[in-house]
Amino acid sequence: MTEVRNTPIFENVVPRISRAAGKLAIAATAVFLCSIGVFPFYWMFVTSIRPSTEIFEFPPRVLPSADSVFSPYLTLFEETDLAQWLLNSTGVSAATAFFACLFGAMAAYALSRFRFSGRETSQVVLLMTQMFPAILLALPMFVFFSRLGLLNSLFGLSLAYLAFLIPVAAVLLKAFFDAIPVELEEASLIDGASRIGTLFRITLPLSLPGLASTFLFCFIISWDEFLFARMFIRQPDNWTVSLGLASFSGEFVTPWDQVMAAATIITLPVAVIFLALQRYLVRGLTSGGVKG
Amino acid sequence: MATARLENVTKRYPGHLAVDRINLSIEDGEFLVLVGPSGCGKSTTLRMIAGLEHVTEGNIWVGDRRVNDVSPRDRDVAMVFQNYALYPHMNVFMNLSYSLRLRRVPRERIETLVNQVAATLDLSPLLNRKPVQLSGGQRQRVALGRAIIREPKLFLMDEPLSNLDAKLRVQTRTEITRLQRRLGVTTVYVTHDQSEAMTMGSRIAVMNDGKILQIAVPRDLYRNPANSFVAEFVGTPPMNLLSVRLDRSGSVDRLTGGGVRIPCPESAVEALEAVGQGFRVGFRPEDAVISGSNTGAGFFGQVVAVEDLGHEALVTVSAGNAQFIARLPPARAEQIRHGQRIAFGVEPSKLRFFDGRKGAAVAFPLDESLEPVRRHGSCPL
Amino acid sequence: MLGPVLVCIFVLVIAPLLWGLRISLTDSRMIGLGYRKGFTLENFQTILSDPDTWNAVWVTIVFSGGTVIGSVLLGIAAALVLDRDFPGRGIVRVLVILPWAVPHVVAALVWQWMYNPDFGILNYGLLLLPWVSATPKWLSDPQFALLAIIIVNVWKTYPFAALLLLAGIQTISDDLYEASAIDGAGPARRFLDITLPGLKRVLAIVVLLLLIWSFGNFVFIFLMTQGGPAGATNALVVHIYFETFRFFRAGSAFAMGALLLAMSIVLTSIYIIMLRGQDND
Repeated sequence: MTEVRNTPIFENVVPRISRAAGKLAIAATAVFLCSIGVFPFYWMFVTSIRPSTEIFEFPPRVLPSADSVFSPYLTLFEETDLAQWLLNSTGVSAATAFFACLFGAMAAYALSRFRFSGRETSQVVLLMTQMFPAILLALPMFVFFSRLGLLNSLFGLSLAYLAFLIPVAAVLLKAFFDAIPVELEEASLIDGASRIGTLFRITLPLSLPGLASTFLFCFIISWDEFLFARMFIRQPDNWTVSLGLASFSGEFVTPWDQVMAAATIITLPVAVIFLALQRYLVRGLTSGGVKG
Repeated sequence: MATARLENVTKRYPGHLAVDRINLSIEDGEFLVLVGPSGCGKSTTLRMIAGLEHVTEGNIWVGDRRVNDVSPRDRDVAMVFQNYALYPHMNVFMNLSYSLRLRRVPRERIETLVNQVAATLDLSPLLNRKPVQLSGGQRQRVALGRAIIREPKLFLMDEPLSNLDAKLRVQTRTEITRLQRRLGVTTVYVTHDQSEAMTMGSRIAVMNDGKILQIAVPRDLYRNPANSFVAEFVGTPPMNLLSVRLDRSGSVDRLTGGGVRIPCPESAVEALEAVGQGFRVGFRPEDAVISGSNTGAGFFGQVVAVEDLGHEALVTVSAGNAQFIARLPPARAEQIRHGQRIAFGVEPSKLRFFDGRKGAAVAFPLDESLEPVRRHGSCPL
Repeated sequence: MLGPVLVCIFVLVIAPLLWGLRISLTDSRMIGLGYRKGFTLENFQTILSDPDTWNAVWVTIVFSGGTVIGSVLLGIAAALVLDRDFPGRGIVRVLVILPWAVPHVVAALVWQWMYNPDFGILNYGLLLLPWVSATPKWLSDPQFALLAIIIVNVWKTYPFAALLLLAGIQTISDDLYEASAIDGAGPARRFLDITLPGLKRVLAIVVLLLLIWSFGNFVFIFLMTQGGPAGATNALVVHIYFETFRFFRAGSAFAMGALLLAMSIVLTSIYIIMLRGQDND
């Protein structure tokens, strides 16, 4: 207590400056990252509500125009098949996600609960199949499907998606099943439930969050998919949103306001789901079960 | 209420024998503890009784029924798991009533039973809570409640106390035994903790390497271990053990080994000669006698540690190559100093002998009034 | 339970892959129209002697490598920021992740619009900088096209790297930082001596995953440049696609597929070995 501190001012100045500089650097980085994250979205939306006369102007106006219009959105539904595409995508994505979860859950449950020879190998196969570039699958499948008459069909497209989404779902769900202690199922068996009863009363209710997340994740991937859709689906009324949106850019003068309006509509639902899922996705990613 | 019987029960995993032909007969209303180090097969045995593991060979009987191929739900047993296995998506009421609901017990009856059990276990205010909202001790009681509410033939408990902290563990021990006595349900209890086994079990089966080494009441297990493994496993500190051989060259028959010589009780000589040269002698710490001068029944050693625990004191004595621990009243230990040279003896009737190779106890006629025999009246040391 | 699923996977994944390899050894011209020569190495001879193939391999490597470098650097920066505790961190986290959430086609079109050489906001922004007088024509300039697409891919993938690296950083014990601070290490030293070594495994996994995914990335190149201008962005995936659907040379397309498959298998194997080493269950 009696010890006298000499010149604390000088001792503290240097760390304080470097700490302030550190904080500034962190803040600057945060601002930079946020702006590159947000700006394209901002620009997408601002373009979509800009009167078409103002779009091809240079320099472009950074702020939304004073007389913003929502007509591109109406035009999309009136003059293009966007409504149909949304319907197609919703159907394909929902069906794909449902069956991916169903089959994925079966595989995942077996891998999580039973010890059998070939278990390790099966897991490696499941991981491997998610890693190949999609085109390697798409080409041969294109040939098969054309022979089977499955081209141009949303059912065929969904089937193709299942090829790479079942393994994804299986690996994700396995992590969820692993997190449910086996003792819960054993306790239920001793308490008097059958295997099936245990599945419905204990295992399923507990894995519901996992199943929901996996379903949504598969839904997003199907919604986003482009390559298979582009190869398999030629008729415009069977297009998915990805195809519909891409079809705009081939034309001579791209109607950027409509493109951006469509882009906004397509992005909104999946972006919301995605952000809701993101914390759980990191867990799935570290266990190697998520395709980016 | 029932008996249970295990007949040559064996569990074999690929490349690993977990339980090796064990025989066990559990009597009506008794509290049988299976105790042993981890990996000894005690949990596997319990899980086979529950029906969670398939029996490779042998038979399991609950009452008069052979249950080898009966599914867990039809065995009428209840089990408490180490991690409690409470259903996390159900509240305490639903957890307690799960088995009753599965059996379609009428609603009013369920309510009565749950309230009864909750009152017994002090859970009444918690019925609407989910397991995550409970403390460790409360979860433990819910797990217990879930088992007793069914009034099963058999209680199975797999290390139910090991997730509790030390103080709560001791407290819950007595609660469980009291509950078991009151309900009179036949109980099989698995633990790796020998002091838990000794305080709770009406009988104890010690297991190691998939075999049952001894089944006995606690006192017998402690006094007369069937082999050197049990001798070392039961009791803290464990039994003092020393490899010795019988030396009959002197005036008195002696046990020598590790630089120590102990007079041999005469009644044991015959049995020991039959065993041959290699065997171990053992005695409990409290059977050691320490004195300033040699009384003739022991040897000299040097004190290397004195640990006063308040209610007792442990004195570690080094003699020859060996170390022994003696348990003394604290007042007695106060006079003993570190480094002091003292005489260390054992009352001959308290000595136990084990076969050097197999570890099995060597039987010899016990005579409580036994004295070491002096042939020529000379001092043995 | 697992059986039917594995059969499904075999029929839907393994069989097509093997069949593709088989086709690469025939003279099949039009997809699905059969072939005359049952077995030939011609396709491999053709593609291996074709400079376009080597250009495609080179573009793939530059594209993937560039993506990894950009993504990891930005990812580390973002992870370090998100590891700090500051008001509004939750919002920053969401905004950082945003690019990952956008559909690929949307990202391609939005960036294409921003890159627009005449009316694009990007060039306008560049011109505001005092030292910039001329702006590139981005996607139609062979010198800038690949860079432009790498930028888009980095923008889309770095949030993934950031989240994974953040998870990695958070597993490093605080004790280590405190110990080294007591030993007198400054922030830079702490980053080099503790953070980076602690991230080695996660970093390796991030790099491998980004490489594998970039190999297979089709949407950005296909929509933004179609492999042009003058082959500047003609990565293997796009090259294979056009070989099949524009030039109808199925045999050589599958042969290039085999090449891509080989590259992917090497990376995937490393990835799986690393992952298995992490959790031995």
